[in-house]
Amino acid sequence: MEQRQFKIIAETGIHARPATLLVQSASKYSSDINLEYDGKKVNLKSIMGVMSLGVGQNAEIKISADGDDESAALDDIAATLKKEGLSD
Amino acid sequence: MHKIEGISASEGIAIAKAYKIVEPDLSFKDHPASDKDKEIGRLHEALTASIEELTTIKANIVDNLGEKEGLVFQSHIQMLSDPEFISSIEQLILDKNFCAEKALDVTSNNFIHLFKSNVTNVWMKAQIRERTSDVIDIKRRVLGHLLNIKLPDLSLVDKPVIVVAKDITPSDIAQLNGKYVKGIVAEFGAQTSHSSIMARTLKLPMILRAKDAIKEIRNDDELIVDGLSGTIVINPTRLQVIDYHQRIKAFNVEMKKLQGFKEKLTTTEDNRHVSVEANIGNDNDLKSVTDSSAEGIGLYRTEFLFLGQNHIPSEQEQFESYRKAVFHMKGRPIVFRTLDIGNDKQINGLKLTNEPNPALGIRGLRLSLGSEELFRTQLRALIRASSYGEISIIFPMVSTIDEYRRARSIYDEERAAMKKDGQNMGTVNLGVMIEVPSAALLADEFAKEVDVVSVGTNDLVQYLMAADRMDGKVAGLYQQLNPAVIRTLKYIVDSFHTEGKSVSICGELASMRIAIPLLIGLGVDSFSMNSESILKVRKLISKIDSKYAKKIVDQIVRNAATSDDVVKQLNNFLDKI
Repeated sequence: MEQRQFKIIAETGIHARPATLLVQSASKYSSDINLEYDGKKVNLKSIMGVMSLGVGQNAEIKISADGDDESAALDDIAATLKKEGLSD
Repeated sequence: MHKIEGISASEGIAIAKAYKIVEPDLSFKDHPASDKDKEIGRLHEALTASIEELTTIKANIVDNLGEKEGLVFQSHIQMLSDPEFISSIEQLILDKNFCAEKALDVTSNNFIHLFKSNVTNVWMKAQIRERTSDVIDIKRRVLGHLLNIKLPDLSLVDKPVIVVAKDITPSDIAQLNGKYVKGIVAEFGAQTSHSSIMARTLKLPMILRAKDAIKEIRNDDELIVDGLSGTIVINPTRLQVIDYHQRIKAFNVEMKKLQGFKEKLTTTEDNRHVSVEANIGNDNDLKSVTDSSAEGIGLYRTEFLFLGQNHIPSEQEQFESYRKAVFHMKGRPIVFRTLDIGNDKQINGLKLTNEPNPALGIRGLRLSLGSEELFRTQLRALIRASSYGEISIIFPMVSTIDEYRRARSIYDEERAAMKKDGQNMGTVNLGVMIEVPSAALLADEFAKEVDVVSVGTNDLVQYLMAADRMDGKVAGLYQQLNPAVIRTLKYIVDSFHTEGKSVSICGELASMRIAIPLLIGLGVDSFSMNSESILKVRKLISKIDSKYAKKIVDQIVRNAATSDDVVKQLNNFLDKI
């Protein structure tokens, strides 16, 4: 299993559009991928799960992936976070 | 053949088949699952069918409106493929013996509760509400498939139609496909509503208050919508169709004649220059501003950037829209009105609390001052846009001088902070909309403090006459030409002229044929209206002698007691030119 930490810098937090794109990225991989924030953990392939967390600005989040393509998945997700201006 | 009479809210004539939008009954009978595997099978069939449908809708929207607009349907598809969502429904069928309909209903409600429990900022609040309506929407779609009931869907329309609905909201119009929707008929609504304004901007013939339209009209009935007279002909005879094709031709000829008034400044017969400007709602309207050769943008209704969106636009998104408009105008005047929601304009992302009387509740600047984060974001975006050209910002629904001062001090704070950060910025004029009687009566005081002013006659009339413009039952009291309205307008114009400041009018009155000589006579300096009225108004103004108009208006102000008196005098005036 591999995991990485990110700090959300966008004023809007993880709102609708980035959430959709994040889930889209995660769903491309076979690994189990989870998003952890504020002591709660959700499936990153679940848009409902991601939306229910309410990740706002300055939130410290942890994303973990477990499976054959875990590194590639995390790279892709990190790139999406950056491209959408959510993290540095 | 059968006719229904309504009121015309947007002119033009259309002939096409009826397409009714009626919310179907999706109630279901709760029954325990007799065969759990079968229920799960039904669920998956309904999910697959829903996803297929959404894929078509999304492709259509992307074709017609662009990639960005399709994203909301992408997220609907994602929700329907959501592993947590699906397994939670399946679990309820397996553990609790629920039928698929009930399991879907309960799971959807659980997620909505979950969303609402974790809200951390204003953007989040808006998007959670939006997501909630997304969940309700997908639940509806899947339920439709489970129950074998077809849902109406404007974006699935693939042939020319006339939309027939009980009521039509601004968001309905924002979403419809202009390629196939040729006209609109609704049982409710008012000419001055925002839906009507949008229909006119899109040049879509629209008839409102068409009594029993839903009952009288069946899907696929052939309809003639005559937006000039307010008549709907159901299943017309061949002769009627031929006749109406002639009328469409004549209408187009008249439209062509007006083209001679393009690229001209607006002047009265005695050569007084007035400015005829456009009201717009977003970037899509910029083309119509150029097409109609408006002399400026007299009213940029910024709330339309927020309408039909799946989230509240960020500072950057707002800035990009505002900058586009400033660029587009190449130095011609542009007036931005800060967020004006509440009353008849509600936004999914920012649903206001239920108020006993929304017209007298939190709306316009009241909302902005109560949601400072939102207000400051909008002001920053506007200040940034001013580095591309001079702009004016006006605040809506101001009742007191104190509110204006408070808004201005927030603006000053943001501007100072941005300057310190080295942000480029240009000239910004600040001002108010006058649409509340208290502000109208203090016009002389406002005239001393503000740089610019615009009179919003729609609301001003509604508040002066205490008659709701959306309510057909009191429409008779909503008198835009009542002498009380005219005296109020005169006081406002005179007060600002005393301070050497010009006055703009931006309600429906500004484009009403009968009101034009009145406004010219009062000395109004600029008229802001829907783009499609600009050439007509310019043509009419060119025939008016402003000195003679002033004489008539002075008589009206002195002697008229009723709206009819005013109408009679103005009609006399118009007959002579």
